[in-house]
Amino acid sequence: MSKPPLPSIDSDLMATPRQRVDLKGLRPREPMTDAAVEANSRAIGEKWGASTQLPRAEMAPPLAPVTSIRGYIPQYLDDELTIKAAERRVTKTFLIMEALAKAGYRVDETDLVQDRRRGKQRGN
Amino acid sequence: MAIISIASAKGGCGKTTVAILLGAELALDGYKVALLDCDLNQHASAFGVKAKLPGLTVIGDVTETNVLSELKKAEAAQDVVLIDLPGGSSTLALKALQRSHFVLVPAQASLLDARDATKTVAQIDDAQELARAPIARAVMWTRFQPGFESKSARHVRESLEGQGLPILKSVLMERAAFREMHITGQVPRQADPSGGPAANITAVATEVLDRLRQLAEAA
Repeated sequence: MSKPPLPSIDSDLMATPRQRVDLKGLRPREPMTDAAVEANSRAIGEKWGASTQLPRAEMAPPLAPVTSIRGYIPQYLDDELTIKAAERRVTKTFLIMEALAKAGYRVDETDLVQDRRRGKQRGN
Repeated sequence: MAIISIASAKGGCGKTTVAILLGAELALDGYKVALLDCDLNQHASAFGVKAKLPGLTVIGDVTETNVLSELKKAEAAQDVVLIDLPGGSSTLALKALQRSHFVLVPAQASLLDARDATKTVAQIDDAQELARAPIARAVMWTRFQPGFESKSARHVRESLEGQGLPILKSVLMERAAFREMHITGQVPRQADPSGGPAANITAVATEVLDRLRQLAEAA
């Protein structure tokens, strides 16, 4: 008794292009401040003996000298800044500097301080 | 947009080779890819200078100080960001892990690589816990010898697979073409599209993309 013929493999031999994956479906990572990422890295790094270039808390790099500017903005903008600042627990100065950095002005990461009154909690 | 870190506490396990091959493969598929070279040796950057791959941008000199800002810039402009991390445990790597959707952990079938792969996976667990967001990961066998698997290699491979860690089915073979690309600036799919090395990395990339598709569908 002869064996039955094997099934066709033609479909297996047809080269098909790889389907493009819609990466937009991947949600962006949860928003975290750079300071939070750094604190986590420091904590895990201490546990695992990781090498680090993170400055010790008491040896944070010096901030650039600051100066004061004064100007007038619409009341509604000030209101919005006040609300946003309270929501994010940062200062209005931080929000303005952050916006300027995004617009392409030079604002060094070390100078982007969320709230100078609360010490040197930097970044966003 | 997907962020993929290539990480292992072990040096010499194939991180840079995987990063270049995967980045080039995805770029040749039409994705906009940035490769952040965080390794002190800057081998990926040297490849980037020679390579002619319009969709692949290699960003060199990424350090602990600028990794998060470079990542933000790349995220805004690219479909895929690959982060080639240095060997050893570093807070630089820990920062990158926390911002990754997926981490590939290359390992040769040796006890040293397997030990450090498990250490890296444990660090990913810690990063995931503190970042409060899932970080998918998979170990990937690299420099796999074609045609022959030694007793010790099989023992290590089966032992690690027995630990229940996610491991890619595709392995990266030991191929001369993966060394030659550093000389020529051409990945196998450019130099010999129908050859075995090109098929090898295509299989790896297909599996990685499949993992990303699953992550996107689950999101």
